[in-house]
Amino acid sequence: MPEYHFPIPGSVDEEKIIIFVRKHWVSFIGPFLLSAAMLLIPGGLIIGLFLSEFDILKGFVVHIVVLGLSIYYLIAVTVAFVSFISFYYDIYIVSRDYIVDVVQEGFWGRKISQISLLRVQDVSSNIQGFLPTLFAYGDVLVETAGEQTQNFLLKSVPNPQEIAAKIMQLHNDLIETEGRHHQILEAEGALAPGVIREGGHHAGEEGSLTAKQPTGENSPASQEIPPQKDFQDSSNNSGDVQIPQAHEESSVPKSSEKVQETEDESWPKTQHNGEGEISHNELDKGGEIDLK
Amino acid sequence: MYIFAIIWFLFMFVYVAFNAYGIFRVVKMRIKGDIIPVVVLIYVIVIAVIIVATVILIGALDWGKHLQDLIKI
Repeated sequence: MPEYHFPIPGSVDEEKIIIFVRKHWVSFIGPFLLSAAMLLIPGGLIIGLFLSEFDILKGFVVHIVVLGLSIYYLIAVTVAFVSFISFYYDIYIVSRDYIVDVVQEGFWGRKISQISLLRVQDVSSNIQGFLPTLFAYGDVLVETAGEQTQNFLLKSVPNPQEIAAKIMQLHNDLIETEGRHHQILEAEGALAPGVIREGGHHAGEEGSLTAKQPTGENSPASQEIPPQKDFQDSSNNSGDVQIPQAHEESSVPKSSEKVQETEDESWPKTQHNGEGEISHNELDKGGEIDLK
Repeated sequence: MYIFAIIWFLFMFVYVAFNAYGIFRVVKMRIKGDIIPVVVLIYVIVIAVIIVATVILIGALDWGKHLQDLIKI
């Protein structure tokens, strides 16, 4: 990954960068044609006057034309260079944790914005127009959550659909990594708090259980969510994130139902009675739960 | 007529200072492997060509005459 000479807020780790993209070169056609016109038209006019029958270029006029043209061309070349710098240094960086938006405004202006992928709410892509459709570039709108909504607009990026899909994938991966999946499911009502899943871990809040929390090395309080596998394959040089096979989320087990025993060895096995279920009655009794 | 040449040289002084710092900032924020060094080189060459051509033309013109003598169209 390129070495960065300018400061990026949050010290983005280069190894975590998944997408590093600039604006598509076609989006620079407008400023390029304008700059070309600014450089060619006056010169063409002067040459035309010189070759024409109008004998204007003599005496005082020649001095003014020489100095004026020199100043004009120097300014025009500088304007063209500044517009290229503004185009070339508009950079969008997507890492595993953040989205960084770098906007260059001429020589002296630079705006760097950064949001966490956890705050991403919705990602949409848009390709509109003849040239964008022909060259497959467009805009990606990243909508964020929170009171102060800060939407990121990635303008004129190549293959916006792929970038949008990748951002959502990274967002989901980060959710899984952060272990908030169970919290989200609880918030949505897909998982009831305090349910002990056989072969799984305690997915509820500590206060949701009336039973005494067991202690020991296998107690849920001391057990952390098993770490996920490293997403990046060492042999994969493209830096694509490979999602490990997700742990199968079973439906909310009722107290009268048997808790399905999972075959995933990454989850610690819970000890259960002879019938293979842990009922809420046992929990209400306040008995200890041996999760060995 | 010397006044116009003096104005032009003052403009050149400001312009060179502006571009020197601007190019310094651009090179400072470059990313390793990008095309900015090539673009900066082309930019400097174009500026140099314009300045050299202008200096040659200024040297070829007679700036010692009075303005009234030159206003003859």
